[in-house]
Amino acid sequence: MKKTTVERPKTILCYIDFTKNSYYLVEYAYQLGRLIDAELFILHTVTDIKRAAGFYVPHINTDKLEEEVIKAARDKMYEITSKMVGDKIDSSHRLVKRGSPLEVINQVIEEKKIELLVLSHEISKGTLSGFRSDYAEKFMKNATIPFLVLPVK
Amino acid sequence: MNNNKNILVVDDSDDLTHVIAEFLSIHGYHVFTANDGCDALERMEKKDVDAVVSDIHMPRMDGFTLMTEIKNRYPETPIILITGFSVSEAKKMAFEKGADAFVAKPFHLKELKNVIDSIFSAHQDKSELHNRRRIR
Repeated sequence: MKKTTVERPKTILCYIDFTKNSYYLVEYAYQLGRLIDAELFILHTVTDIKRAAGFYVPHINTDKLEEEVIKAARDKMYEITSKMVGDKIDSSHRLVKRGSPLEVINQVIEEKKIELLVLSHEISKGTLSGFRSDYAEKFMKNATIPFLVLPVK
Repeated sequence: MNNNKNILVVDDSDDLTHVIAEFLSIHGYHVFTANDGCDALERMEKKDVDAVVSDIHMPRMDGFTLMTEIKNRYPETPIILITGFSVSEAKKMAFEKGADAFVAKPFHLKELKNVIDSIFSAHQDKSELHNRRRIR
């Protein structure tokens, strides 16, 4: 038999969008990471409002509002990871970044030398679904690394 | 508590509606947006909306007119008005016309979320009380 060149992934990136399935995704990615002894990163993205719209709103400092969104996202990330795996995921591995999911996922893959992506195909409801719903499908079209799409629980 | 609650955010500024939508989504609300009163009413015909957050100054149909329309068509739907113009006047008029809450710009997103949470909590208490009275 030919000797394999396939190696186990040493780094996993788990992308979550804070829909209900995110809890399951984090637990799955963590247990998978343990099984194959891989370093795990969890990622969530928030929309870069200025890039998405790019104009001034009277009476509102959008920078301040964006800071509030990012803080809320970090708190939510902490809540989800703590609930599912306690303090097993270091804060430096819980990433909240600004930008479109696909762009940021690819950026983190490069930066952290990610070898396996774990994500879900759940479609978030509401106005943000247009920004978020198709990231799994989009990634699939130009995948740069192996990925695992988990079903919605 | 927030799960499955649909919030409609109405403002002619896309980036403001988006930032509010993002924040409320993180906290478990399903958020839909509209750019003015007409757009909002069209949305409400297609979707069940549990609360409306609306700016007052908007093109085509302003927040006050929208609120009157909503009170006629969907009297149970709470409305939160937001504005940065002539705040004291607007606040007075908002409550006179039946707003459930008023938030002045600039505001913190957390403050807006707290207002929405408290409106839902008050509605829940009210319906529980109503149910208890019916049982008696």
